[in-house]
Amino acid sequence: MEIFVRYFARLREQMGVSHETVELEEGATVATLVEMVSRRHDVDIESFPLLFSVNCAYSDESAILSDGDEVGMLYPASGG
Amino acid sequence: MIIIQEEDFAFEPYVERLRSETTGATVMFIGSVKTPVDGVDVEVLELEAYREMAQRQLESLEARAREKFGLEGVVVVHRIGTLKVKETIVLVAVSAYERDRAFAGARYILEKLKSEVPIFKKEHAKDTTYWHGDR
Repeated sequence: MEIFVRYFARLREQMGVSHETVELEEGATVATLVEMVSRRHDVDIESFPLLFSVNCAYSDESAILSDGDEVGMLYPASGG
Repeated sequence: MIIIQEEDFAFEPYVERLRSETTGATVMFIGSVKTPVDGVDVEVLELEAYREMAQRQLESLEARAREKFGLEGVVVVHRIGTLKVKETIVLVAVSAYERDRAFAGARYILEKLKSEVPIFKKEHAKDTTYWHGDR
């Protein structure tokens, strides 16, 4: 299945891209995705203060993904 | 009304549209770029948003605030991009029948915005830059 990933803040800078499409096996979770893109970009994503979203709603690493989902790798909110 | 934009804007038209015969109170909060922050002299603030999610989160926040405080009108305008010291970051303006609801509603929106809405700040000082969350 195809997952669209978006990176923000310092993670975006480290990854060198703001978004990408990733191919994952059925049943994969956000944690599976994190592991996969960490390897692909050789970036230790777990060392960032990240939050995750799936289809624009906050989620956690155990969330099971579906084909076409959009995952955001976010920094803590600091607007206002 | 929720707006996320790069451009600077005038407050008055937004505030004026909140006023009606039944709104006895209109409260307006303006957040601006400040310096120093934690002892660092900030020169420029960069604001990045996950725009689609931020819009949805703010719309949900507006609905919750209307319900919780009985607000009659809500306007949030949040800027993104590169801003200098003293420039406007955000306008939160609300109207209600009476002042207690208006003050409480504006405060609620602002505090939730700061903790729930995916907008990220990078501060640029003379010798350093850092993202909020990294320090």
